[in-house]
Order: sequence, then C-alpha cells, then structure tokens
Amino acid sequence: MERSKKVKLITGLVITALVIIMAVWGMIKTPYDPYSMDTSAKFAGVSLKHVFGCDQFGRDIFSRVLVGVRETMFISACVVFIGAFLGTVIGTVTGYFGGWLDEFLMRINDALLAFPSVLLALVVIGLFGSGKYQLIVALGIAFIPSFARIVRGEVLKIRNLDYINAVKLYGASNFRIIVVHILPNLKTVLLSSIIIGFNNAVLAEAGMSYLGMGVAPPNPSLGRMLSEAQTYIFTSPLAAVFPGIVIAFMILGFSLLGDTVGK
Amino acid sequence: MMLKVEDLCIKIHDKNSTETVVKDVDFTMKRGDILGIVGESGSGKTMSALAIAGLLSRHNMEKSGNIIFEDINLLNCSRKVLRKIQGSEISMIFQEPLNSLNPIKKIGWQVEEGLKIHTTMERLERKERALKALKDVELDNPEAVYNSYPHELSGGMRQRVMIASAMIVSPKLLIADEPTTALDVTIQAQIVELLKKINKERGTAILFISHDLSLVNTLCENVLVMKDGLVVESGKCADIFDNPREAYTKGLIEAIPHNPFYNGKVI
Repeated sequence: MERSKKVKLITGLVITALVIIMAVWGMIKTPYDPYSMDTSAKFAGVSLKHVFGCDQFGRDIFSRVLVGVRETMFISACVVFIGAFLGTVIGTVTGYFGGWLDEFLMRINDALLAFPSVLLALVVIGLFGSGKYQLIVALGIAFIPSFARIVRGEVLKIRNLDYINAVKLYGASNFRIIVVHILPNLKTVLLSSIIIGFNNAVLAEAGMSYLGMGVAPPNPSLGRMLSEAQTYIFTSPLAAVFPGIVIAFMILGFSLLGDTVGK
Repeated sequence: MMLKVEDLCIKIHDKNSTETVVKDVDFTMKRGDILGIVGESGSGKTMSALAIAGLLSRHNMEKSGNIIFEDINLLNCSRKVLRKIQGSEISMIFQEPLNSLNPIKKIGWQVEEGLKIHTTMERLERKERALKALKDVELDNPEAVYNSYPHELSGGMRQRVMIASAMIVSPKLLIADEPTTALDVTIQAQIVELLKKINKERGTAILFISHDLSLVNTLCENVLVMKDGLVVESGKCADIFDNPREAYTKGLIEAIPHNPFYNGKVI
C-alpha cells in the first residue's frame, strides 16, 4: 500500500474509533445527566468540571454530545441498513432479470432520485408525524435509489460474465446464481457505498433534526443541538461549536475510510 | 442421432430493426463425434452454440427451428427439463478463461459446483471427485490447485480447470467455444490434445468452435464453415481442406500462416 493511502487509512481508523468510543460511552454512562438542568452553570465555559461547557439550561454539553453521537449513529446505521438492504434486493432483481420489471422499478427509482431526499423525507414525516423512527423510515426510503442503482449496474456487469453462464450450464437455479455467485461479488462495491451512504445519513439526520423533524426535544442529537444553540451563538458559541466539530470529525473519519476501502 | 439441429434461425429484435444472426443452420452429431464450426467473427458460430446450450436469453430474441437432443427439443421444452439437461448432459467451456471462473471462490469449490447441484454427495466424496477431475486434465498439483483462487493460476491452467469442472458431471456433449483463442500456441496444442484424449477415453462428443482452421483440422472429423449466419460448406475435414468448393473456404484456408518447414501444408 502506498504511503499516502496508509496515512489516510490510519487517520480514518483513529477518528472513527474515537467517534465510536464516544457513542459507546454515551450508551453506558455520561459524566452528567444530559437532561438535568443546573441554572447556576448556565452558559458555563470550558472547565475541568464541564469539559465542553454548558448550554442555555446549564446542561453539560459533553454529556449531551456523547448521547447525541449515540443517537446520530443509531439513526444513520438504521437508515443505511434499510437503504442498502432494500436497494440491494431491488438492484439485484432488476439487474438480473431485466425486462418489464426492470423498466418499471427503475422508472420509480429515477423518480425518487429526482426528488431531493430531504423533500422526500419531509413528505413521509408530513404523513406519519415527526420522531426518531419516522425519520429512520423516511431517510431509509430516500436512500434506497442510490443503492439500487449501484447494485444494478454491478449485477448487470457480472451477469454477462462467462462464469455465470458456466454455472447456469451446471444447472444452477436463478436463486442459487444470485445468492451464491453474484451477491458475494458485490462486497467491495457495497462496502464503499455503505461508508459513503453512512456519511450522507449522518448529514441528512443532522439536517432533518436541525429543521426540527428528527429527534424530539429534550433528547439530544447532534443536529438538534446545533439548532438549539444557534439562538445563543453570539453569547455562547460553545454549544454550537462542539456538536459541529463532532459531526465534522465523523464525516472526515468515514470519508478517509471510504477512500481507502474498495480501491 | 444424439444431437440434431434443424433449420435453426435466430433473430435479434432491436428497437426498430430485426437482425438475423443465424439462418437455417442444419447439422447432426452422433455420440463421440467431434464437429468443428469455423468462420470469421460475427458469422453466428457462438450464437448457434449458445442456442444449443440453452443460454440465450428469452427476451428480445426469436428462435425457430429445432434443436433435438436425445429426443427432447431444447428450444421449446420447459425450463425445468432444460436445466436438468444442462447440468448433466451438456457442458460448455468458454473463450476467455479469465472471466469463466468466479474470482472470489476457490477452484475446488467451483469445480464441485456441478456435483453440488445435481447429486447428494458428501463433502469428502465431492472433494475426491474434484481432485480426480483436476488430475484428469493433467494439472501437475491437483491438491494445490484445489485450494487456490483463479487469479493465482495461469491462463492455460484456468482453461484446464474449466474443462475439469465441465467434465465432472460426465456430459455427453461438450461445447468448446473458441477455448484456445486466448492462449499461446504451445498451450493451444496441449488443450487440443487434452480434448482429444477426453473424447477418446470418455466418448464425449465435442462441438469445437474456432476460427483457427489448422486446429480444427487436427481435432475434428467433420466441419461446418459459417459465414454471415449461413452454413456455406460442410463435410469431412479432410475433403474440405483438400478441395474447398466455396471461395470463402478457400480464403479461410489461404489465410492460415504457413510454416516453411511444413512445405506450406496445413498442420
């Protein structure tokens, strides 16, 4: 592996590991209760007691960031899982069988792709109300088309290779060809698109929560914290700075990983 | 007759135009026959072979005529029957050994595929059979090949592996679609020898498709010459090479690079 790639990989791994440690920490125990307010510590600055300072209600920002990372990671992971799973199913079926089913599903796919995903998510939330699980479903649906496209292209390529013809000639059923011979070959493509998708999901979740359509207050998520902090951004920038930095780091880590994986 | 192809026509429908790629192809094969099909690129040899193997897709293509294999018409039998025949009676090896093996599975696993689908053998028994098949195609170290991945093998070895996995189900007909085109000359000769041996020892009929007339001449008894989807000439290899009737066949024979040491004879 060349040197620059190695540096990218190691930096990516370290940053991602840090973010995951924060998420796990947020799952187990936080230094302070992220919901309890302390009026005496309102807008407290960075100190040993409160490493990231406190927000407008005197809640410890560090604890809230930990829980926020946990929430954001959970939502993004679910979104990517839904998108990748259904996208793979749709992509494989359409790519492998072709015909009218392919035309039909791919036109729906094109239509979905033509919508901005935030708008699409807004529609779903408008129909089912806002909340964490509605957000997961909404973004999950919005993430299907890109996965379906990537998988379909790859399946189309593999389907016409001779070894698929060869196993067809050994009498393998379509199901066996897809599951045993085609899907394992999608691994690398899927892995890198999952990482890129995860990035997009983090951003989309932050965006939706910022717009007030994701996690409901008082629960923290990184986007939610940003949107709450913007009112006080000139009096107390800390509350906006730290969640922002963590989002940036998450994206950076995964981007570096995504660059090195699958190439 | 084991295989009887009658009036085979293949038309490909594109958006606006229809193109006939194979026209009225007729031929028969007995058990143990070796039939060569020669012709330039685009003459319809591969399409005919894929049609016999049942590998042509069922959309946007129109096939007429009959392909009768052991009294079953492959062109209009049910998918289930076709798959049964495909697995155990007809096998095929392809032009590009690079693409004809799955890059992420071990060789042994792939050679066993036919057995996995068609028999209820135990793992160890299958392994034994696969090793024997690899040995039969004259690979030096079957055990090592069994445990390697396709990218670790050379082109010639991969083609041998393909032959092994095609022959593991003991088919009656082996279709070889330009199996030596991607290989260098010495390996070509070895592969042809191997096919000859398989034909002699096991009585497998071979449909050998090539544009290399000298290879066809060394391997086949009978030959079909195809051009633009039509069979222009057919008969015994020796007759056709000695006195070709069609101008096209003459052209093909003249196009063979001659070796001065053989006095211009086709070897």
